[in-house]
Amino acid sequence: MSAEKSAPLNAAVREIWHRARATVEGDVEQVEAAATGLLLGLLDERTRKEGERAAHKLAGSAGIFGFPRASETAARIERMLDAPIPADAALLAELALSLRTQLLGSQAESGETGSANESRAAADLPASARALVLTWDDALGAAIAVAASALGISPHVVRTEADAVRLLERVGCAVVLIDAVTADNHVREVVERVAHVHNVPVIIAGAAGGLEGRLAALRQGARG
Amino acid sequence: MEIRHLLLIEDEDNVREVAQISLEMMAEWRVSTAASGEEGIMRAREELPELILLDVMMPGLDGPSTLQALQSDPRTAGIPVIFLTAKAQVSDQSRLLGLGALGVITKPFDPSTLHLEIARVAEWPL
Repeated sequence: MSAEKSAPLNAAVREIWHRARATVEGDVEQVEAAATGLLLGLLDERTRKEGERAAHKLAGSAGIFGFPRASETAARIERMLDAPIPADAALLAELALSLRTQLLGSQAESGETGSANESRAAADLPASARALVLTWDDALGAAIAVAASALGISPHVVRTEADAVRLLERVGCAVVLIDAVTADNHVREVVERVAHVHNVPVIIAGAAGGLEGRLAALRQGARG
Repeated sequence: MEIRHLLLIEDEDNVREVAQISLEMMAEWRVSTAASGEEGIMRAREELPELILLDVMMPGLDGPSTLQALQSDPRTAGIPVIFLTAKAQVSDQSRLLGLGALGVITKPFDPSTLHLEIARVAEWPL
């Protein structure tokens, strides 16, 4: 491609991408609605079809704007949502999350060929935009990640306390959510090591919603 | 490169706009556009383009139904049609070619080389 033609073409594609961003975000949200619905066992036919249609649109268009990996992710989602009852809710949620990061990450730009945009989309975010989720329950982690992403928060799901500490040391986070089941009977120790060392607020998620359980979590160092 | 006249039928605004701009800028072809199968059939009858780029999955009249309508009208029956589709599977491509399309170009396409793909399928000299 000659330089005198490629530069104006890239600029035009970039401009179209910026105008299309709201539409793209709407399509990603429809995919997330289908993924969340499946996770919660509440996926209705209309939501599934809307998610499939949105994934189809993104599969065909993302690569045009320099996001080839996002196109592949969207195509996988489209194939999963093609089934009347999609299998593997956790995988669908992870793919939906990847799709948002690949397309709408804070550094995502457009108008260039290849995958240059995607490497920039994965660039570091400020700690204030990150949330750390400690759980070994993949479905729960994926569900929280999808919900966080929809709120503009970049989620990091880890399965072990050691991974949580490493991530906090490396990049920092605005909040830590600890699955009480994952922390087993060592919630206090985990909270102290993972979060208080780094002065990060902690939320403990537990299946039991009773007053006694909540008070116990607060006594163990949670802020909510 | 010879100046060609194409009709692009594509319901997604951003894809349609990128394809139009890329063909106009890179190949200096004349590109008419339509946002639906129904509008595309009307434009094809009015403008008689040399080639039609036709999206497969569209609300209302989809690509295959649009092609059928074009083929059934003597004014447009001879216009070659290339399908644009995000479905890259071989079985889909065979099915689309079986309907009488000249070729299939898969989305996402590269805006900088779309004109070369079209010229290759249409066997247009560059």
